[in-house]
Order: sequence, then C-alpha cells, then structure tokens
Amino acid sequence: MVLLLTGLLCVAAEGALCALFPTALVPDLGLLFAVAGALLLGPAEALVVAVLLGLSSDLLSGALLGQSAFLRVIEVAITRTVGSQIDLRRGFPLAVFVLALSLFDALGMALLLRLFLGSVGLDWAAIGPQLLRIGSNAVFAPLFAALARALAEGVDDEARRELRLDTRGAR
Amino acid sequence: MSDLLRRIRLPALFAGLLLATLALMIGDKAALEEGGRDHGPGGFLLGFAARLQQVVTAPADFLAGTWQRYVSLVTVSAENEILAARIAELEEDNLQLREALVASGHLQRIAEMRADFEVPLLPSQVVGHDHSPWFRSVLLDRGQSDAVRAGMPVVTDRGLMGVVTATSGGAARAMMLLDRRSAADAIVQRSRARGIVRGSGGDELELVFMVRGDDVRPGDEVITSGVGGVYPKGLRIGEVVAVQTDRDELLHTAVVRPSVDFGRLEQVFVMQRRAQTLELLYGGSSGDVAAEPPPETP
Repeated sequence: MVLLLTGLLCVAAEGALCALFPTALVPDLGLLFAVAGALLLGPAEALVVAVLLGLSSDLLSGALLGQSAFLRVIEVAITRTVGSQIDLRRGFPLAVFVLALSLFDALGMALLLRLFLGSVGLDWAAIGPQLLRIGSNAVFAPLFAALARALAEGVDDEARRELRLDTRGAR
Repeated sequence: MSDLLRRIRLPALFAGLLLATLALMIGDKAALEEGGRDHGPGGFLLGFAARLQQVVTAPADFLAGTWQRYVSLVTVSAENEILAARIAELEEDNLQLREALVASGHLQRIAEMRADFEVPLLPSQVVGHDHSPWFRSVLLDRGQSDAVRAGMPVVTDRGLMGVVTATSGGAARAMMLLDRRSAADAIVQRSRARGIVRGSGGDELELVFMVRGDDVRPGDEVITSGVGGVYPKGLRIGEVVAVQTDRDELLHTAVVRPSVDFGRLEQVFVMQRRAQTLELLYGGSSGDVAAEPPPETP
C-alpha cells in the first residue's frame, strides 16, 4: 500500500518535473515503481499495483486510458520471470534490465499508438527523446529500487515492532 | 477444486487485467472521438495532480518570477515611454477608424455581429507538462467548475496552442498543436492556399497542402481556416520556414515554426466554445461539424 501510494504521488508529481526539466531526461517513475513492485511484492499484488500506476500515468498524459496499464501488466510478468533467473537486487544488473524493459515499453507504446490511433512516425523526432528516456530510466532504476526497498522494509519493521508490543501486552 | 482455483488464479488475473486494459483503450478511443473526456473516471486524480504539480513547481516559478521581475525593472522605464507613445498613436488610429465606420453606417451592424462571434476567454495557468515523450499535452488549473469542457480551443497571446481533451472539477488537460495526433485546417494568409497543419512530435509543425495552384513560400503566415469546427477562423498558427517540394507527389509539405513558444507556456486562455466532435483530431472519417452550441454554464 505504501509503495502504491508513493508511486502514485511520484507519477502525479512527474508532470511538474517535466515542466522544469526536458521530458526525455525525467525517468518514467510509473515504470520504475512497477518494476520495484514486481521485485518486492507478491505476484498478484504487483500486478494490481502496476495496473493502478499505469492507469494514473494514462490519465495524466495524452495516452489512451489503459495504454500504459496494459504494458505494465506485461512488464511485471517479464520482471518476475527475469528476476527469478538473475539477481535484480544489485544495481548494475537492474540498470541493464530496466534499459531493455524501457526499450520494450517504447516499442510497445509505438505499436499500440499505431494500432489504436494510426499516428506514430518512427522518425528522429520520436526516437531521440525515447532513447534519452530509456537511458534515464536505466540510470535512475537502482536509486528508485533502493527507495522502494527502504519503504517496504520500513513498513515491515513497523509491523514487526507493533506485533512485538502486542505480544508483550498479552504476557 | 480449490487447488485448481489456486493454480489458475494468477494466470486468470493476468489475462483479466490485459483484457480489461484493452477494453479501456477501445472505450477511451471512442470517448475521445465523440468529444473528449469530461466527467472521466480519473477526474479526481487529474485535479489532485494539478494541485500537486502547482506545489512542486511553485518554488521554481517564484525564483524565475523574481528574476524576471528584476530584469523587467531594469528596462521598464524606457519601455514605459515607448508604450505610452504607442498607446497614444493607437488611440488616435482607433478614433479615426470609429469615425470612418460611423460615417459609413456600419458600426451598429458590426456591434451586432460581435455578439455572435465574440467568445469568452478564460485565463488559465499551465501547471504541468506531459510526462511521456510520445505525447505533447499540458495540465491546466481550470476545469469543469469554470465551465471548461473537452473540445474547447486553447490560445495564448501569440496564437493557437491546442485543444482541451480531458477535464475534471478543477483541472483540464490540453493537447498541444505539436502532438502527433493534432490536426488543424489552415490557410496561408497571403495566398489563401489551404492545407492541414499537423503536429510532428518535435518542435515544429507540418503544413500539408495541394500542389496545383497553391502558392506557399517561406515567411508566409499560417492561420486557422475555421473549417472542421474545432478551431475558430483566423487564429495565428505560425510562419512557414521551408517548403519541401517533390515533383512526383500530389501533396507537398511545408515546415511551419509555431507562433507560440511551447517550451515556455505559462498563461493560456481557454476559448469557451466547443465543437460537437473531435473526430477530425482523432482520425475519424467525418470532419463535418455543425454550428457550435453556446458555451455551457457551470
């Protein structure tokens, strides 16, 4: 729940960052939190969190409602599959994985745009910012994964402390 | 049985979410074609994001504003004198024109026409930009509570900026002319050549026009034609900077530099009139739009 709320807050604030910095340099926070969720939460929880983050991204951007959410569902599945083979808790493997996943996300978005709106030109005007954003996602991925892990562990510690207090009270 | 349910729970959730998001996309495309997303399910989120983005950008806006005010003060005295002289000159011109109109008996007729054509302009602040490089849209701090509806054109003091595509109680999202899905019927002011201005996804626009008989040159002003019903006639779009000619092609393309500086959008105005459909923008087959209904009241 904390991860979802933090992710939603970050997605909502992302537009403001895009007003201050070039859009292509601001990482896709929805994608990064969805990846963190896939690595830290159970499969069903991770899917639900990813869909909600995707829907909020869609509502706040010019995308069709469901466009990012559709891709996030697939990306969670990919992350869990790869995460079971490679240790994605370490920074470098995670950065490389997010680089590849962001490329998949960009291609998926282009495909969905072509399918539903018939309007995507894969010229330099489209590819340049996408490449920058893919790089930015990869650079920021370890940072956001660490933030998400700290949040999840903080919540776990709190729950454990409360449980201990309850047990003492029972004695 | 419970073992089977447990085993298929996750694949079923995965497939269910994929199908649900696909259905949402199909539904949303239809909603956008019919006139944009008013009263959408994410209205609350849009409003919340607008407030949050205002808070996030406030310190940067304050610093930029303070710096700009300081810079302005340095030149304000000289500018003031020039402007005062210019106002006097314009007032004189205005007076002469009024005299001429009264003399020709047209003033009353023009006053009646103004009532038909004048559109209320609602000032609005840009509080956030689109976070996806695929799309070019902005978040505005005015929404349904200010009678802003999807389909209303958005302008700045320099010309046409785009169109409102989604609204919530206190916020709205507007698609810029630069967006790839954006299209506006346009004419070249000098030669009256007609074409369609499209967003290229980059910082410039494309004017697609017919070759035969059409005279388009660098330096020409491009304005909206009013055809299609989404944008009113006569709004400045930009200036032709290059014409790409290919003898074999029936349609030619001109590169248009927008008159609006999309990188520095701060204050915009929502024109409170709307078309009945946004099909022209979203690739629908019919671009025929009837006369606009009067602006709705909140």
